[in-house]
Parts: sequence; structure tokens; C-alpha cells
Amino acid sequence: MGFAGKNMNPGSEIIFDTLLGLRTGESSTIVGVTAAQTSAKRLADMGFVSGARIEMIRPGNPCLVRIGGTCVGLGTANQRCILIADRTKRKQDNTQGAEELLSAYDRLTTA
Amino acid sequence: MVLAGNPNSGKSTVFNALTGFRQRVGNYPGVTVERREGFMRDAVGGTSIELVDLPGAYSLAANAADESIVLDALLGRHDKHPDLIVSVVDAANLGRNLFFTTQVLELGVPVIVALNMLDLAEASGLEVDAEALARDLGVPVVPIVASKGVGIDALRQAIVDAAGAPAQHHCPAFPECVCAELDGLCSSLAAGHDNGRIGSARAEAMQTLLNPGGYHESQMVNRCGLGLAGELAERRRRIASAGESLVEVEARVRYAWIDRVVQQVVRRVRPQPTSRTEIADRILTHRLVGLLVFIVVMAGCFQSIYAWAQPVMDATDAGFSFLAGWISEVLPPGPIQSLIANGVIAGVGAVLVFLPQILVLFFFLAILEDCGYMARAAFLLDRLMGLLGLNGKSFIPLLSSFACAVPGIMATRTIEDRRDRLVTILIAPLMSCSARLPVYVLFIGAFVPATPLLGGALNLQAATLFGMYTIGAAVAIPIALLLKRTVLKGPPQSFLMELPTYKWPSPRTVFFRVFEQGKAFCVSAGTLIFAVTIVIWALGYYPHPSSIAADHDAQRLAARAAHEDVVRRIAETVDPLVSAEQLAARPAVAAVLAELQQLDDDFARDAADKRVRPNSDGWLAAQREADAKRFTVAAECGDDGAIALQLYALNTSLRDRLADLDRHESGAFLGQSVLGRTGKFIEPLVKPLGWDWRIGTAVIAAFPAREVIIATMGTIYNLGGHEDETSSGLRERLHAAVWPDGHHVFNLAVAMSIMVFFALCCQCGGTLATIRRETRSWRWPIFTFSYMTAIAYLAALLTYQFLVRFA
Repeated sequence: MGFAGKNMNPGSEIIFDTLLGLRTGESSTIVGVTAAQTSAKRLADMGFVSGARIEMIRPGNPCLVRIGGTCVGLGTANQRCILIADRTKRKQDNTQGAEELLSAYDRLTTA
Repeated sequence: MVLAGNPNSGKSTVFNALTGFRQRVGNYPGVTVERREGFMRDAVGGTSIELVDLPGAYSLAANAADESIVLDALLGRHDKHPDLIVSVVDAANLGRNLFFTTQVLELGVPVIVALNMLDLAEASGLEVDAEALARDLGVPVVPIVASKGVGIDALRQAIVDAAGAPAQHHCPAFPECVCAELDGLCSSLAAGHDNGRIGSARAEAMQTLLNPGGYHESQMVNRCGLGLAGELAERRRRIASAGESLVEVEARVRYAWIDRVVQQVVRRVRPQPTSRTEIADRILTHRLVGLLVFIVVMAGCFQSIYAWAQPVMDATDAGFSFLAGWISEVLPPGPIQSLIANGVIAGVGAVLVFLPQILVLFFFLAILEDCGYMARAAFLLDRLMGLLGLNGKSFIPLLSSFACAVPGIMATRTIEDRRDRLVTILIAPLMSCSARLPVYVLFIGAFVPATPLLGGALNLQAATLFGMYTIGAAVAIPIALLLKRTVLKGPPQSFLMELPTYKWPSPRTVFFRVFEQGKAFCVSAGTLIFAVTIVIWALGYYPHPSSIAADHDAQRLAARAAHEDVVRRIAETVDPLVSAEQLAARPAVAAVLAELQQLDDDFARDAADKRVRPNSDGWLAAQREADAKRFTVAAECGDDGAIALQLYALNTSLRDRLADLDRHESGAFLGQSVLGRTGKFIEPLVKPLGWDWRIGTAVIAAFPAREVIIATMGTIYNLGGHEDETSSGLRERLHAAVWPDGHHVFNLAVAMSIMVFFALCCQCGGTLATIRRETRSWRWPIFTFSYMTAIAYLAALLTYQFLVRFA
């Protein structure tokens, strides 16, 4: 459910999670969106951008989340694209190196 | 002047409030998107300003032709360039709504912001400072609550004031690398660009560059050549190497800017209470309970269709029958009288009779959509749709196909995935459309008893109707799966839809929608069915050989002569000096005859009132009772009574014989007509389905447009009956229809087989034409027509053979 990605500092690992890992009532911050390009732009334009707060109302397929004051339904594939700050690492600034993580993830999935 | 904004921002409510009844709906060329335009008066009531309501959009980015309409309209490609853009934003969701507003601000056109839904914002504990927002955006901001009419006059005034005023907007600043590439791209595109406004050119360039694989990119490449594709790739590479994420940069930049604005403009004065929408959604989006609620809602709709529209339908039926009868009396017999009474009136009337049911159906669909429940339904069904290989977005086009497949198929344009879209299009005609409804209602009303089920909550008729609708959907499932597995393989699109706050449906919106749909049905019913009815009438009337008429007239003469002969002989037996007429005129005899006749009339009226079907058990029992009464009456009067009874019996048999001859004559005429000959030709094909040649004929006639079946059957059975029957409705005529050997054509099995055939057959030229237009090839409409006809034939065959043996 989590992905391990190497950031530029060798020897340390940062765990990040996808929206699939968020449980009912929990909130998190979006770290990034990675997807086939057309979905990503669509998701981004609707408010799913780095730094946005997202709350899970009803997980599942499709799930129901609250973002920016509205409720949006998301299918599983879209949920898998939305990367959120891992809830176990509260203090760690997970947004640092997000771009490196994203490119690492991209490399993992497209390889 | 245009209205733009997010979906669910209340844009349409604003539009309705500004234009009132001075609006109309059309289409943008080449896409299915509705184009609403209207006229509004300024606050004083002077000049008229043209207003266009653009489709709701979250962003100018487009992945399909439908979505690009907004940008195209704003760039002035569909009409004149807009003089003013009114950006409607939802105050309770200001952050996301402003995304689209910032895009619009960059177009270089004067903008006013209508800050809507302030009541909802206040209810969730937010205070929005309109003046601060105006300062930050650099545009006038008008606070309104469109649903309550608050602020509309101020908005009118602001519109009048702002049109033509120079645009001084504040916009988010994009990073250097992006701006550089955009400027470069603008000059490349300028060659193919048709208006010189800088803001517009830049907006289009942005959507081309930053949305790889999107609609604008493909349009631009088509227009400017493949060289552009290379240039785009190069520019994108430069942006990426500068460290920016191509698809996220626009959202990131805009939302960062918007967040700063929102922080200053919006203040939370109370903690957010749990909204009613949230509470309702706990149930309504629940996987199990929500689904149950959905089923109940749908069942309720179908039950209401029966309950509400029935009285209106009966009244209309009676009205048209009366009109046809009146025409038959007023005009002399011949082609004209036949044309008007049997063709035009009977045909068109029999279809318009069902308009109430259709209006009720559209009424429910409009309410569900306007209150916001449709999005929940799509949400609940997404998984189910996923099993078919489709996504939840296929649900709305398929549901619309229950009203009419033509707009339903056009609505599939919202589905981006080409394969998903094609599968949805191909199964859409299986959803029983409103044109099938008259067929169902006619046959169910005539042949399915109204037995109450589930303790009176439902009745068998409504359940059968529901069943007919389900058949189409049930067949669609394996078809969709098969298509997805063989011809049209591919991964499904993932669900992405906003669930808007629930709101009371606006009566005006619902009214307009129902009115428009009803009008569209009437117009297509009026023109198409009228034309086809006349053609069918002509095919069923001509050739009209006078030899048949002469032949039957001779037989009528013979029957009357025989009758008179017998009556004379009775008179002679009684008293050789008295003639037959004098005998009948004797007061005692006349009195008994009159009473017997009265009994007859009472019986007929009673049967009609209680809707007892001729030759049913109840009818026969009542007949026997009436016969017994007649004997009693006659016996009371001794000899005179006996004479009267004999005369009565003779009169009755003459009347029956004449009716027989009439029916036979009409049948002979019809048999000689073009229509009849074709029907007889295919009769062996349709006999296993329980149909006679008339049904086969009517079904053939319905292939261009299935609504026509009712008109055709009305026509065919009208022509096959005589004057008395014009006063009864089509149902009674169906019950009376007989095979040449006398047994009834229609029973439950035949009715079901006809309905099943109609449920599954593609008898709609409009649908096939739409499929052709949407898929740009003849292959798919031909495929649809073939597979549906084959399935319909088989299913009708199985239905009839099964029911005839076991029911």
C-alpha cells in the first residue's frame, strides 16, 4: 500500500501513500498526482494539487472524498494516482523531494 | 454576453432569473451540448441584451469536442465574440470555482463575477467579503442568491454598466519558463488564429501546450500540421527540464494565487455544521441502502406514470374517438372521409393520447437531475457499470435513452474513452424508450389484469411495465460484455464526478425541461407520424376495387331480403291479413320489443362501464343473465311476447350478419391493398410469434419509427371495422379482432410477444441516423439494426411459444 522511493540523499527512505490507503474520516495532504496525462490534468484542475487537504468520507470503489469544500467521487484508478502524505510520518516534511519521488514512481510504473 | 462557471454553481438559475421565459434551447453544431440563449432586459426595462448560457466547466482544458465548446464560445468561434463574461461562482466553494474564473480573466474580455449561493456559505459558517474579492480580482463582484432572486437586479445593472468597460484584471503570474514557451507558441499559432486578441490567443496556447494528448492539441495539429507536434514536444521538454510538472503547473500556480485571495476574502465565523447533504448522503451513497433507495425511487416513478396519466389518457382517447365519429357523419363516404377519420384523426390521436405519460416520465427525470440525486445514482452504479466494462458516466446516457435514444446517444460524448463510448452507443437503443411506452401501455392495459401485488403497493400492470423496461437492460448486459471482450477491448475510464449539494429542484428549470422535451416529442410525433400515417393510410386504402363493394352490397341485399322473408312468414302464421310491419307495430308487440331492446342497450353500456372484455367469462355470464331476463319479459306477455321475442331474435341475427359482412368487406379491401399484400406475404414468418398478417403489417410499418405502430394499428383496425366501432377506443377494437376462422387474435401471449419484440428491436430511423453521425460510419448503425432485429425475433418467438403452452 505504500511505496518506497529513494530521494536524492542516499541511505534514507521516504514512504508515501496513495489515496487508497486513507480510511474513513481521516484527512491528509496531497503530495502529488501521477497518472496518464489526461487524467492528471483533469484531477489537477479540479483541485487535486500538491498541498491540498483531502478527507476521506467513504472509501471504496468509487470513494467519496471532501476536497476544498466539495464532495467528489473517485474511481479506484484515480485514487491510485493521488499521492498523499503518509499519515505515519507527521512531522516529516514529505512534500520535500516530491518531484523526485514522482519521477521515481513514474519510472517504476513505466518500466 | 455569456454566463460561464462551474457545474452546480447555480449558473442556470441565474440564467433563468435574468431571462425568464425569453429563452430557447438549441444545439452547438457538431456536438450534443445544449445551447441556451435568451434575452434579458436591463434594470430599467429598456434595451434587450442577448445572453448565452455556456455549459458548466471546471476548466478550459478539454479532452473531447464537447468540453472544448466553452473555450470556443469564449473565443467567439460560435457567435460573435462576447462583450462581457459573467463568471458565476459558488461562494461556499470559492477556491475551486475561482480556478475557472482566473482562466476566464485572462481572455481580455470584460468580466463580472456573480458571487452566488451566499446563503449556503453563511449556513456553513463562512463569511465572504465581496468587496475584498473585487479588489483582488480587479473586477466588479455582485453578491447574489439566485435561487431566492436576491441581488438579481443589482446584477442586471452591473451587466449594463460593465459592458464595454475596459478590462483591468489581476491574474496569477506563471513561471518564466512557461511564459516564454507560451509567447513563442502564440506566434506559431497566430498564423492559424482567426482573431487578434492577445488574451484569447494565449489561453488557447496554454490549453494546447499544457494538456498533452488533449483536444486542443489535436485540433491545432490538424490545423497547423505535424510540424506543430514537434514544436510542442520541444517546448514541453524545455519546461520539464526547468523543473516544472507539465500537467500540474497551471493548477499549482492558479491555486497558490487563489489560496492567497481566499484567505483574505473568506472568513470562518462559525465551525462548520454537518450539512443536510452530508446527512442525507450517509444513507443515499451507502452501497446497499442507497441502492435500495434508488430502486424504490425508480419503481415509484413507473407506478406514478400509470396512476397519474391514466385519467388524462382516457379522456383524450374518448375525445379523439368522438371527433372521428363526428367526421364520419359529417362528411360523405369516400376517400376524403376515410383519410380524415381513419387516417389522420385516428392515427395522430392514438399517439397524442400517450403524451401525458411521457410528460410525467420527463418530469421525474428533470426533478432527479435538478435536485442533485442523479450524481448519487451515477456514483452508486459505477461499480455495476464497471462490471459491464463501462464507467459510471455511461449511466446517464443510458438512463436518458429510457426517454429517447437519440439524445441519450448524443450524450455519450462525455465519455472520453472511444471504446466505452461506442459500447454505450450500441446498447443505448435497448433501453426502452418513450416511443415504446404507448405500445406497452396499450397492450398491458388491454391484456394484463390489474391484480394487486405486495398488499396493494404495486399492481401486476405496473410490474409488467417495469419488467418490459428491465428486459432491454437485461439483454444489454451480455451484449456489452461480449462487445467489450471481443470487438472493443480496452481498460475502463475511472470515475470522477462532483456530488453537488442537494437543493430543492427549481420549478422553473423543471418546467422548461419538461416543456422542451414534450415539445420535441410532439413535433417529431406530429410531423413524422402524421406523414407516415398518411402514407400508411394510402397503402392500406389503395387499390380500392369497387368490385369488392359491389359484391358485398349484393350479399347485404340478400341478407335483408331473407330477413324480410322470414318475418313475413311469421306474420302470415299469426294472421294472414296482417303485414309484417303492422305486426311489429302492434302496441303490445312493440312494447315488448322496446323493452328487449332496452335490455340490450343496458347490457352494452354496463359492459363498457365495467370494462368487461367481450367473450370473457364475466361477459358470457352477464349474457346468459340477460337472455334469462329476456325470456322472463317475453313470457309475461303471452303470445305477443313470443312474437316479439322471435322478431327480436331475427333482428339480432340480421344485425350480426351485416356486421360480419362489413368486417369481411373491410378485410377484403385491406387484403387487396399494398399493405395487406405485403403483410400476407410475410405472414408465415410471423405466425410462430402468434401474429396475424395485420400485426406483421403494422410492425413492418413501424420500422422507420416505432411510435407509428399505434397509429398504424389504429388505422388498420379502423379500416377493418364499421362505423359503430369508431366510437370505441383502440383497446376494444383489439379485443374484437379475430382470425378468419373466428378465434381471437389477441391474448396475453400474443400481447407479450409483441411487447418483447418492441422492447428489443431497433425500429427508429432517428436512432440509426444518430449512431451514423456519432460513429462516422455506416458499419455501426447496420450492425445495431441487424443484431437487435435478430434478437427481437428470437425473443418474441420464445415468449409466445412459452406463454401459449404454460400460461
